[in-house]
Amino acid sequence: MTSILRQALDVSWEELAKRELVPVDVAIFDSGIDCTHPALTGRIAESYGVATVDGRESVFTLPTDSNNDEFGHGTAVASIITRIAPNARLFDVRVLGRDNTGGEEILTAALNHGVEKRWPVLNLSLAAGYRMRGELDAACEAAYYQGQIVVAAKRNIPIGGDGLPAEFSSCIGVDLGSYEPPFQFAFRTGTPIEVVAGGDGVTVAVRGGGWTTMTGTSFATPAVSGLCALLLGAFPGLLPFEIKSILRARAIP
Amino acid sequence: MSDEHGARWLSQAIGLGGAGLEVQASRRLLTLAVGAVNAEEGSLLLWDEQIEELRFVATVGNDESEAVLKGQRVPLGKGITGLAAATRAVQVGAPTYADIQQTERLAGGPEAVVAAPLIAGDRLLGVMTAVSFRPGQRFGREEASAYGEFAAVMSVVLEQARRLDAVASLRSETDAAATGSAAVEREIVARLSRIIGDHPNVLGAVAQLFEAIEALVQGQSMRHRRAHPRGRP
Repeated sequence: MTSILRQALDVSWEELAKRELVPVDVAIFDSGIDCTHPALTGRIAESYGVATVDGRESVFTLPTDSNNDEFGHGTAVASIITRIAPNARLFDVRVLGRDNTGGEEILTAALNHGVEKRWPVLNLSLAAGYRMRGELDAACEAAYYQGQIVVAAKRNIPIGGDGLPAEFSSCIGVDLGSYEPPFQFAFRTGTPIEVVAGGDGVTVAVRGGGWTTMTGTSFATPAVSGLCALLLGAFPGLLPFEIKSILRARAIP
Repeated sequence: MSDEHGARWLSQAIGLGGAGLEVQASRRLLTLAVGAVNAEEGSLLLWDEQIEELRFVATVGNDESEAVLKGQRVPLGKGITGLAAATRAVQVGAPTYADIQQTERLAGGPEAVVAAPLIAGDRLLGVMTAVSFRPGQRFGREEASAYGEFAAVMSVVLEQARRLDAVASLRSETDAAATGSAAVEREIVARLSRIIGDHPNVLGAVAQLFEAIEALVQGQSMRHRRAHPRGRP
């Protein structure tokens, strides 16, 4: 066992949260983030949008002092991560547009952008279809081999598969369970979706201001991303398989 | 729902064309789903590809609500309903508060909302929702899971209705084509009969004309068979 892995296993979550943590870049692939929300002001380092122009997907920058959230979903997800990981530096990547066009093409382009940027943690509180399975798999594999942690939500609807990229072994797939986030969760083996975390009635920031509670795998996933940011903040250089090992070791039996 | 068959079913569903079996089944399923999560009202919205928005087609639990909502449109991404459609995931909503402790409520509306997308393959069919106005009630994981299950069944009902409607339309088109061909044959025979009846001396010329047509058609067939030997496209 490596020294860093042994150290990471020996420290409790509570001790971890009290340590001096290095900033960790966490990219949120979602509907955008309301950078003006009081809970998120100053926490978003960069903001991007992805759009299809003349048949090709391209990434463009967005201001980090405006409301870039099309639906409110990304803002909610971001607020969970910032609450768990005070060291998280957020990178907003808007892949869910108002007209929801582009779908898998947009997501693939965004993921490849994330691979280029080498953000350590990539949070995807969404589940894509299977039409571009090969391209999405390739992007997640590339991220894995660069040591990036891709945390993705399982699809809530039980028909049609669990969704991508949560099913990929290169990612950490997250399901919803009756656990108290963020430090309570379960780890399953023999299934593509390995982590079961709490996301029931989670307090989240609302686009435009305010707070509400939301439920779903979308809100269990950032709990796990937040834990990854804590771990990387204390032990920079932990690899994806080591993160999974730590999660498995710390899971509720 | 895509294509004109879906549009026709949609029109039927929102009361413009009566209530078919599928519409009745959908309403029953919606009523069952609403009761299962202990909600007070529920709605079924269908995705209208022509306008690219959701449209309310049925509401159960409150006749007044249905009268108000039926036909109304919801853009993709708007509110919990639109969010469920945009993300293709069950969404659960609660009131918005000014503070993180949730003591100061910002706006009125239901106490709890759950919205589950209706999906067939990769196609969005619509969304079904459930709401409660009981103070303090919230929908959680179990309600979200249950409503997702009902939504999966509703998706099958709607997709089956769409397919049956498409088959029925295809059969109508086929019948119309056959009827049309028979009419043309009758017209040709009638004209020939009139011509020969009025001008019996042209019978020989008409026979030669048909021989020439037959030879032309056979010649084209021969050329086609030479260009495309049997078994090859």
